[in-house]
Amino acid sequence: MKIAIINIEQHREIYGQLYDGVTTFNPTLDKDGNMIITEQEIDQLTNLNYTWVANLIKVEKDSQLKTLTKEEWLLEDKAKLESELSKLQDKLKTK
Amino acid sequence: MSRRSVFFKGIPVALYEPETIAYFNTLGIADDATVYFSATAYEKTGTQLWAAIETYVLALKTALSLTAGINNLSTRLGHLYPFIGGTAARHIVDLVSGTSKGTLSGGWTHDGSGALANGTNGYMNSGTNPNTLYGTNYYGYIGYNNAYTAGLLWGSAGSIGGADYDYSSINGVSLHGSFKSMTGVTTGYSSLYRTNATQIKYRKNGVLQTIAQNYAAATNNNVYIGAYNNLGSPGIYSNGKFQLRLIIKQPTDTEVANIETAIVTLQTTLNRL
Repeated sequence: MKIAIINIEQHREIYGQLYDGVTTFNPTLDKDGNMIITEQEIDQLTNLNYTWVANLIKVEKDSQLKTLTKEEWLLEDKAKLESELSKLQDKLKTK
Repeated sequence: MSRRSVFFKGIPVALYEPETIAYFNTLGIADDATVYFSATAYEKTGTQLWAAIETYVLALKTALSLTAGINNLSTRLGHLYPFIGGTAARHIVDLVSGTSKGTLSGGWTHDGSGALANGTNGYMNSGTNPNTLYGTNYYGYIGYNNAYTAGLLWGSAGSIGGADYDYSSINGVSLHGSFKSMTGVTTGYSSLYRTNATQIKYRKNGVLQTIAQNYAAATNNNVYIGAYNNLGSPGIYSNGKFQLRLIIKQPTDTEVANIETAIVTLQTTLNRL
């Protein structure tokens, strides 16, 4: 079973949208709090509005799960949020 | 679309039950020699698929003492998904209404053997709200599945902290409710239903169990298949292969047993046991 990690912006874009004309994407959280979609949603993609989904890197489910201390998790979350903030700021600048 | 009829004194007399005709018309499978699932264990012609469902519908009507020849399964059944046709678009079609009533989400794999949930985020909204449909009447669930080792086959939670839960799982998740969670079956047919206010009846491949559990209320959220509906959010995803699921109003023990027999006959005909 393979999954691909997506970011918050990608989640917003595809959540509830059809990927094969019948079935909706259902992004969900893995045990580390990463937002993921599954290989079926990627491999069965026919919706041309979301072609970037086909280019996502698939990895084995749970293969990247981490064992971190509370402090390390906080740093991890902070880094993720900063990364998302940076991407959103860049997007704002281009508009 | 082929629709086989004969005429008697100028009046068309269907050779098929109206539910069978509506179901296959929505599936887009004609009653002809077109081959489906070629070179697989599930290879059938369109006519063979029509015949299999027709036999099943007639057996259901006999089991429920419904008159054949008229559209009446809806008087007892809220939905019935046979998962026939091998595609997502066909697996969401409800035999009772003849419409694409189900809504699929997340990861599924579809083929001639049924619909396989991925156990991570795949589920189907059945479109059926037991409280709206049945009110204070007792009701139950019957289904057939394969290769199921985790998650909930179906379920719905009616309220936060309330007792109006419907669940079926193999995990025995400790939750209280009108139906309660209990051990399921990895392969085969299972039924979970009530005939009175103080007992849940549960049949695993035909073996009846009775569990004391007071009835609270019908869940007031749509039942999900392959997960449970946690007040609008799916959870506890199943990795099972779904081959038939139905919800029934006020079933008797005899009706449930006869419906299970009909389901096994259908799955045998389709080579999906």
